[in-house]
Amino acid sequence: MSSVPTRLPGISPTRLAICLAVIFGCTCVAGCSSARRDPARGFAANNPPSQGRADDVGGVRFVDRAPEAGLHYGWKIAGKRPCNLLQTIGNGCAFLDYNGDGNLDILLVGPRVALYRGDGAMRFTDVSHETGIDRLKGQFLGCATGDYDNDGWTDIYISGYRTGVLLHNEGGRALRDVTAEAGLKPQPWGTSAAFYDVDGDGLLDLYIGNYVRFGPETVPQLCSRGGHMTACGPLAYEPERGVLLRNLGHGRFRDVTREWGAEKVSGKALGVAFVPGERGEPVLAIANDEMPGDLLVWSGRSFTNRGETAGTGFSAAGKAYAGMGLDWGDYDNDGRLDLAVASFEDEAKLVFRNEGGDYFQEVSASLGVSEPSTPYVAFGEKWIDLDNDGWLDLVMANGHTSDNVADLDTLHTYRQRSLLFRNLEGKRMVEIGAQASPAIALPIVGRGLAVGDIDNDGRQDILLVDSEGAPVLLHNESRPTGHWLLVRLVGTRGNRDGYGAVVTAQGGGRTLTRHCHADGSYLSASDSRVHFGLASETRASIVVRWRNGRSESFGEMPVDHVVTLTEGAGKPTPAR
Amino acid sequence: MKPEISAATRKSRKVIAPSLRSSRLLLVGLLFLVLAVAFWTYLRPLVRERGLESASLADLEGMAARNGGDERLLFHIGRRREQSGDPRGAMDAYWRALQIDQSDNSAWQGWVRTTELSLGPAQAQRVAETWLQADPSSADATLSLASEYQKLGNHPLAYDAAAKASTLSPGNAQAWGLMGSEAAIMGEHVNAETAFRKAAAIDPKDWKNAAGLGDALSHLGRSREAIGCFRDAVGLAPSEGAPVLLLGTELLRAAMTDPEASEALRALQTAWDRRSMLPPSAQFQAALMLGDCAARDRNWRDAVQWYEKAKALSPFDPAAAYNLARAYRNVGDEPSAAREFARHATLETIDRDIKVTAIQVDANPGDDAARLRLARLYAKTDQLERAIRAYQTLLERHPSSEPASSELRSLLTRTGK
Repeated sequence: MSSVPTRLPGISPTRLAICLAVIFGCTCVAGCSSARRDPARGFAANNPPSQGRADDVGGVRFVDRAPEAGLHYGWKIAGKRPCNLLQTIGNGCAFLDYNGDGNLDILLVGPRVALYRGDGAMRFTDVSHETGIDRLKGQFLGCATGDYDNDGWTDIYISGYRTGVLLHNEGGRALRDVTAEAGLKPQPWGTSAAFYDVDGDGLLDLYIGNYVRFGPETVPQLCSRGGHMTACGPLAYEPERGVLLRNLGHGRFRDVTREWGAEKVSGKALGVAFVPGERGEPVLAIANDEMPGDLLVWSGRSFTNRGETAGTGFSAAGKAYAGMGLDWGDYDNDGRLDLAVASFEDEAKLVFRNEGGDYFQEVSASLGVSEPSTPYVAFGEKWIDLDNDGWLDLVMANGHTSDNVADLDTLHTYRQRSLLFRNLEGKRMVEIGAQASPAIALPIVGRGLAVGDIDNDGRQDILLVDSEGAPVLLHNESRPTGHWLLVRLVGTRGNRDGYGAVVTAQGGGRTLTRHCHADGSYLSASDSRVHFGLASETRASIVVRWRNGRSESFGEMPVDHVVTLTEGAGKPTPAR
Repeated sequence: MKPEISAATRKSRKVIAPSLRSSRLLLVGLLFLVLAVAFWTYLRPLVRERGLESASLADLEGMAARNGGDERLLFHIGRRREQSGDPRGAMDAYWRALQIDQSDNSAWQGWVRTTELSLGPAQAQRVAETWLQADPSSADATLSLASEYQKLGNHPLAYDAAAKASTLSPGNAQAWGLMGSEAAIMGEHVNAETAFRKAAAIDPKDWKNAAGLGDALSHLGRSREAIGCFRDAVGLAPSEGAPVLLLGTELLRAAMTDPEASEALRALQTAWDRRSMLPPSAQFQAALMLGDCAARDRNWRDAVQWYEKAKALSPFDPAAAYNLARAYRNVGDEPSAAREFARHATLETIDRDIKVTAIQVDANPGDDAARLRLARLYAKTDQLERAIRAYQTLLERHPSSEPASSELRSLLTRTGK
């Protein structure tokens, strides 16, 4: 989460030097970053890119239903202004089903952690007190969800600055703080976290990203830019590194970061997301702020960091980028899961196409993602099929880090609009946010972002965190949309959530590949049910390759349903 | 019917005719006199200027020795000395010319130019400042100062001065162009776009303005518009190497289809064929982009060759190292891939160290150890101008710093300065 003054905003030094040398015979290179702007001109940060034509938008439409849904919550940045780096970090959110009623609930993380029970009909009731979650004290930032003890109830890890809390779900009635008994320690600056069964023992392990070494005594707290003090960027501070905690069973975790080779990371992690590799092996992508991105590939005993060799660690120019949130998804339906990474202003928001054999190619520009996204500071980012056409679209939550950016630079704004890219058959992405919803065009201090189907109507909804405002609950009211299938996995031999399973849906001559996960984005967790947009297909054959490598066919099933696929059952059962 | 002329009239005409003739002669004489005065006043200097322009340096110096010299004579001596490769002598002549007449912009420009040639941009900056003191509203002086700031790497001041010059002289395309390039250097691409748009409107035939605009748009992610600008630049300078390189680079960056990629390849190949017209950094760019074309087609062997060429042209560039490593990996040459990945990691680390150290210097200007470290990091990555400036800044603060002064000496020797 870079701030402005200590970085080179989006200049590819190579390109810049070349262009200037070519044009003017000047040999300037990177390093001249003292950004200054002409106050007479306004920047188009909140001008809709207006890329999408009417037929690109289709019937995609979202409406912010937070106020009437009962989400009475607000985020406010405490402390003096201008904000320092810690104050700019923001918060996350989650869609989860904590009480197992088949309806998504909402977790909002902040100085006050709040849980809202959903009724599946767009109404949310604050259950923070009755679940005990309101008793948590600390500077909480993000969350991860997963059933770490396979008891059938989704547990929660809440990350934070000099804290970190593991909450055990007591049968959907309460959330009990088991941090100490689980052997978890407070993290220096915990950011995004993710549950995944790394060693294949059927128990979810936990990875917690850490950001930078920073405290009230750290110098500098603020950096100068154009005569104004503002938040320093991450380069001003030493990196903190993430920790990998092995689930030992019986509610105990042990730090295996070094033992499993997860210590060889760049540090300054903001986004983390697991994915099953080509051979089913766990792969962990870590987005680091102005440090090379990590791609930890599990070899059976330990991780090897292949961020550099695979190509996700750097932009195409070989430069480290300011990685924020990230997500895995097969946007081009070639059966391989691709990686999207959010980044700072004047940087392309990256899409790495998975070309197989641990080789990724950055395709942001040719896909059309670079151009509209470059001016924004993106945090939360998720793949989402907006209209059930079977092509994964992309959503981004944006907001600047410098609360006083308008003083420093009237061309950029603190509050920024969100972006919604519609995927045109894997070949091109078109930004349609402003056409799809006034709420998406509304500038916020965007940070966390989660996706999920809150009313089980097969249309994916979006939850956004506004760091200086209220949650934005974007209800998907698109029409027409394609057929769909929402698959809830239940592991019996492996982890109960089915995390790490690859689910394929075949129908109408095409195969869609999705994976079961709740992680990704920024400080947030999403609906772990696997969503398929099936366009005009009325039946789909589903095959699940579970985390343990076993493939299981569940046969052909009718669409437009939420189904539960239980490992070993061989046929679907209606979801709760 | 013819009018009758009376005898009295005829008589009076005979009397008047001689006096009229003498008056006419007088008028003609007066006219000649006026013309002579006009020639003396207005044309003679032009004729003399012509004479001075065509006179040899020896003749000019002879005239100066005889007459002590006037402003124009001294100016031409300066110009001739400059042309004959004697910037110091020229500098002295321009200075002497300006002692006589401070309103001569060409003498000021000459003094700035030759000071830069003989004493470097820091001294030239002082000359430009003197010029600006003598004529605070001079757009030329302001632009000259901007140009020196640019050469000194002081981009915020260069931008400010160029902006001031463009305000003083809104029709000066050069001022807008400089403002645009400075904005681009600072990563202020919105400002760069505005400035280059003005420059291009004023001087639509200068391909550099179109190219600068394209570059700004490219950085703003407006690739399609950028391509349009680069196409304009190619149209304005069809035989140049630079515009076609910029066009090819942008086309490749935005290529979504194979025909687009093929067009990019053609443009880049043309740029490479014209590489003798390009500075080394642009040759590097051409090689790098041709490597990318090959990589896009999964023609890894060609990619290796192009990236190797790029590496040879710019050994410290991380993009070449990174892409070369990936290409080696794809041809199955793991040892070479490992070597290049390691090199890339080193370059990346140094790059990050430079940024971190620059932040430390910024936060604590008295941290001379950090300043020295920064200078060394620049030197280590062949950023020699930056290294020299960093050493010089350190020595200004601590003239007795032995490591700084010896390292600077060796750097200056290395760069032939």
